[in-house]
Amino acid sequence: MPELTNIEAVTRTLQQEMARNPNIFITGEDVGRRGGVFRATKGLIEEFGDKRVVDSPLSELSIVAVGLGAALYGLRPVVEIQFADFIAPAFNQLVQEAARFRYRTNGDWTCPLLIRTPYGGGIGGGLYHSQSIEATYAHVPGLYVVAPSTPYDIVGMLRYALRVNDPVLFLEHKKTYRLIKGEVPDDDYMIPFVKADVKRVGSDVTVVAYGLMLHETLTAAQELLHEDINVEVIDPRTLHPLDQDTILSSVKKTGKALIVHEDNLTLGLGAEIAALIASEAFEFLDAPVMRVAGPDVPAMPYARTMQDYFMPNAEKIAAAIRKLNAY
Amino acid sequence: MRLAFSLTPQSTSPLREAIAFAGLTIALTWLFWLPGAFLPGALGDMLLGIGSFAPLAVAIFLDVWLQKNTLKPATWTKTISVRGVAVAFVTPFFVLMPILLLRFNQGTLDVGKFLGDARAMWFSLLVLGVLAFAEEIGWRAYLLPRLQTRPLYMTNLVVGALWFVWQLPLVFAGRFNESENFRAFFIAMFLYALLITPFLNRVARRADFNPILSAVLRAGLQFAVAIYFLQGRADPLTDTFGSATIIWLVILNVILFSQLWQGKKPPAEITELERVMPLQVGD
Repeated sequence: MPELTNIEAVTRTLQQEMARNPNIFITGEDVGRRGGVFRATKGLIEEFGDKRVVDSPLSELSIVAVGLGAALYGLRPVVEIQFADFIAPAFNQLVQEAARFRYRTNGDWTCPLLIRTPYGGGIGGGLYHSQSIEATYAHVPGLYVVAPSTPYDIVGMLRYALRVNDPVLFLEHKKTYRLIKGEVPDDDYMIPFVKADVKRVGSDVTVVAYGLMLHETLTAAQELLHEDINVEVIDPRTLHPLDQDTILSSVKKTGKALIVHEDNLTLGLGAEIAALIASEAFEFLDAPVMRVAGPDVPAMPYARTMQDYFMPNAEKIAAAIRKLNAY
Repeated sequence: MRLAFSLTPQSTSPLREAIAFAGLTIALTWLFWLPGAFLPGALGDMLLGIGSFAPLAVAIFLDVWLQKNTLKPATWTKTISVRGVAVAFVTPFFVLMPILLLRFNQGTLDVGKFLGDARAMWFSLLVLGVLAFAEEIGWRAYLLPRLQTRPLYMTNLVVGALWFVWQLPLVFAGRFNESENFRAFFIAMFLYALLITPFLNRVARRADFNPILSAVLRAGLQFAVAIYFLQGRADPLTDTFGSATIIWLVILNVILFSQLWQGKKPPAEITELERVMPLQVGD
């Protein structure tokens, strides 16, 4: 079983899927000759040609709009937004158009558009290369928002995303691209959406985390074992819609819940998960639902010290778990 | 008595509470039912009646002991509808339809006799309803929420088996067993407990663990059995008619619960978001 980094998992899966399905093509800024700003599409233009790996103008609106039209035409476009921070100009195409096609046509038309984009901070990206955009788009019915965090999940969910008949926002945490490695089977497995994964089984506290924060949480959980605190870690993987059952089952077992994300605290995904737990598992709770998240300031300051202040990490997560466990 | 596992407000868990409930309920009920099932007349009936309140007593005891507030009677009237009660009451007649139809076809279902005895039976129904309510508060409102994180089929099997064990004094008592073949009667009762439990669990789950509907269903079930009893030999579960009932229950279970057991939601439980985003995949 080969060991891949997160970025290698993306590249290899795109290559395999393009070889499988001739309707798949890629477009975005620098995805062709340069192989993408993070090299996610490296080598693909050489293998599949410039009709299937198309460098686009610097216009996120048109990138998504081209993908939208192609999807409605029957192709399977994979569009890359170079940094999630720059997806805002395409908001109209994504939210007003792509996400609504199935609904407005009563299922007669679907829009199999896959939008890949690196998100998140921790790499000194400053205000325009660090944002977490998931909460904004997870609010939109009709749009799948997924954030796989390990090579295994990236491969399985990217394969699945390239078969889903509706628009998918595929979030890849840029700091994990080369930081996280893992074994990936050679077979053509897929991971369906709306299936959370219990990354670590525990009994004292449930922590829901994704992206870079999943790995920070797993580090914290390992540390806390020395203090006899057994943490269960849930990776929702699909952020919209949520796999409510897996989250609720875990919380009903442990009675304590913490949600971790680096996106801003207020009205982040943690608020929705906390509301879900309060609504459906209130009687199982032994403590208030807690959140560890980025502060309510624009993400994210460039200065290293300020960035560290902004980003949740294993230490901050462990402190919150200790507090929750002792409640 | 010291419990083999820790059960305090600090150390409790849903599974521990479920185990404690089942153990204490069976022990406390048998304290009354063992003598009650074998004593003839009013004294026996009285002990059986008191025993039926054991699940309620244990549920209240555990709630107080563990400083919880599981039972919320004030909410029960809010999560129930007239339609729900009507469905729960009519369901038993569908459950027992094979034996009633077979009897009718055979010409031994005396509707006139049934109507003649109806007045007395309505009183019985009231008593049965009260006893069933006390039992269902324990089994459905207290126990079921604690097992809801387990797979559905597992919950149904476990609750059905425990429910059968709980009723063993009644199964073994001669006054309720008029079958010539006790072994067949025992197996039939076991199957009956397993097969009827999914229905009781289902109505309780649908009503947010409100025990009223399942109590109505239980009372209706016993009422429907009583109609059968009025017609003659009280051995509905082990003869041809009884076998037909078991088979019918299996069919009803398969029809009504196959989707749930496969992890699919019934149409009424599909959310708006799931309708908008049905997760269809293509090539």
